[in-house]
Amino acid sequence: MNERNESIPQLDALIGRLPRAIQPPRDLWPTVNARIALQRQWSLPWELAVAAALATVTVSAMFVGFSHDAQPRARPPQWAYEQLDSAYRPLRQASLERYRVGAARLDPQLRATVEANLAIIDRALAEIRTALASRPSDATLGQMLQRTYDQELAIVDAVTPPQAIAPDQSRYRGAL
Amino acid sequence: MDAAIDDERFNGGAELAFPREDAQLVEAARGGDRHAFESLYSQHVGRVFAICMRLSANVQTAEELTQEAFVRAWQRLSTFRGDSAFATWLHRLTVNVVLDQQRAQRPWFRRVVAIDDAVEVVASEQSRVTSSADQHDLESAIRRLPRAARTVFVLHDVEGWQHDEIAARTGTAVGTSKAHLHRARQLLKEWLSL
Repeated sequence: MNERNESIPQLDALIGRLPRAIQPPRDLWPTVNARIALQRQWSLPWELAVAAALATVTVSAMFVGFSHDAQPRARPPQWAYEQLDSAYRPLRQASLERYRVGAARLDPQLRATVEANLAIIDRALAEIRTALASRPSDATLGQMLQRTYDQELAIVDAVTPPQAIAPDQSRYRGAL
Repeated sequence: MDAAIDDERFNGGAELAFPREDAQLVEAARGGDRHAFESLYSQHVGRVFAICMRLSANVQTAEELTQEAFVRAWQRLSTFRGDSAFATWLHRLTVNVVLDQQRAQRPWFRRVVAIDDAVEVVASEQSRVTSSADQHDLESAIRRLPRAARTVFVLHDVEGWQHDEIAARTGTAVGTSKAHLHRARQLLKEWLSL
């Protein structure tokens, strides 16, 4: 039983009519799928064994004086971020193109705010990529990259939404 | 202790109905079947997003949190024992994700989300007609609530949690939780002219 510290029947009635579910304004599955695919990649024992073997070979070679550049490196993390980039590239291109076309119709103040935020995001992306170049296996950086892409998409979607909005998505926007 | 794991035991009897389809999908997803997990995602994303949206009061953040909740669910499927409904377990895990995120927001992230007031007004004006006025007003009013009051209101009045559960999860006293709820309800009463 829910405790109520004061009964407000009209409020309780409104709460009771709130929709249990709200559909997100865009498809969030591709990002979830990409992220769990990366995790699955690293959770497979044989792949971990291969990566460990590669790392062992690399470290051993360094100790016996081989050229560092000539040795195999643990490539999967780098590949993982390339996969993330590939997954987002078409989405980002379409999103930014839509913004380029629709920006002229925006209120100037809103447009300035949006572009200031997109500039912040650009700088954040550059910083994250620089950090990833030196620490390609840093999972936190990978998550930051993905979150930053999502932010960029969400901002553009909010001000220049895709033309084809499914009915359930319209309901969501109305619920805001 | 892992709160998401503990949640299932805590609320084990709340939803006894265990959709057979969910059970089969969970079993397949545990074995690494991403298509099965995508089906679970499709069935539950609306509820998860609703929780994230109402707790965070921010569209972009809610989208990220929804994604994070499903990634975390995937990581922890092996800890789901099936004593309660998958939905119950997932919703608890989602609340944990939101509360964890609220404690760990980064400064640059806060700067970016400052845009939300502007863009949400745009989105709202574009599609206001699709929602009843009362519902729209209540959703908007919930977003205006102070964070602590909003968290308790959403968890207690919308999601049906008890004050002791809320207090345990948020690290506050039961009395504090009740005070936040009282404040939230009074503000909503005033704002909605009830």
